Amino acid sequence: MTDSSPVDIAAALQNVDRDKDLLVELVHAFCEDTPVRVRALGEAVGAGDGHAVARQAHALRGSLSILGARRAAELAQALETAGRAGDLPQVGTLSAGFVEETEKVLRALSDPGWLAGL
Amino acid sequence: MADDDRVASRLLESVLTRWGYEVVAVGDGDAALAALSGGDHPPMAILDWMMPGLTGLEVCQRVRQQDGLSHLYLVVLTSKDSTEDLVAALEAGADDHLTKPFQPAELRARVRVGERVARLHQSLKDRVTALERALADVTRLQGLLPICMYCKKIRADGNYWQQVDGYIAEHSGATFTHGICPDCRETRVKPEIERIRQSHQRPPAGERP
Repeated sequence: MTDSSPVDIAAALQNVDRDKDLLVELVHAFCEDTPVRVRALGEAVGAGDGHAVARQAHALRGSLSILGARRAAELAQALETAGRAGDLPQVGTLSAGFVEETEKVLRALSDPGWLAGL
Repeated sequence: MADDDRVASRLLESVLTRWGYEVVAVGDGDAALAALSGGDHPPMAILDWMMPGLTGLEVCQRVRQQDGLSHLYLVVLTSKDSTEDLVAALEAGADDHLTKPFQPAELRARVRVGERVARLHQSLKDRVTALERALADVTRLQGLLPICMYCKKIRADGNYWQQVDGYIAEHSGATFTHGICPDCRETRVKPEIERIRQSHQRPPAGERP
């Protein structure tokens, strides 16, 4: 993975027991589900609901880490921690960066080019 | 297995199925508890910590409180990895925990541990059932048995009088082979043989003087 690449495909492949078909299936599920979760996260941030922010960030972190999106997963963890602590200023600071990084992940995985790395 | 995240859930289901396990996948804690409380419940569960409804830890606590479920092997799956979290999971009743994203080889090794424990438990349960059944047979022969003072028949269920050998054969694992004891040989068999012999030696009725 280069510094600029949002997804480590080799790590993702290892996480799925080197099953390429399964990885393709999981990426499709991730690309379908993630925009909905990101919208829910944005609504929770807008509502100032720290617990809802933590819940959504936690849910996103699981699939991001499975698919090798380390940077986005780290930001999700920081967001989850801030949300659980009720640190809304920190939530506000982190959420924009998280959403931006997650969108990069989605763009990278929506491009069939990532399959070439398998 | 219970996980509300489709990616994690599908990954778990896929690798577990490939390894030969029959998987029941649910998406929240309440459904997990219902699946584990059902009649034909699985012997092992992998539960995500944070789920809608009951959390994985709450499912562990409820399972441990239910009669007949305390033996289930429970693994909590979590992205939490601090010592406090591990202790909390074990104190809630989990047998093991696994940090997400898990490495398939580690998951497989931990599931095999669970399988060994579940098999051992099943084996012990089968043995206890067999012993209880054997004990029940013994107990049935330990009660007060009404027996006829003269013919020695035993009064069985339904006021039915039964030969003692038939009764014991029905109420235990014993089978009988029939023979003649020395006393009965003297008091019954020999007189009977003598009676038969004499009946053969007696002259026909027309030849009597």
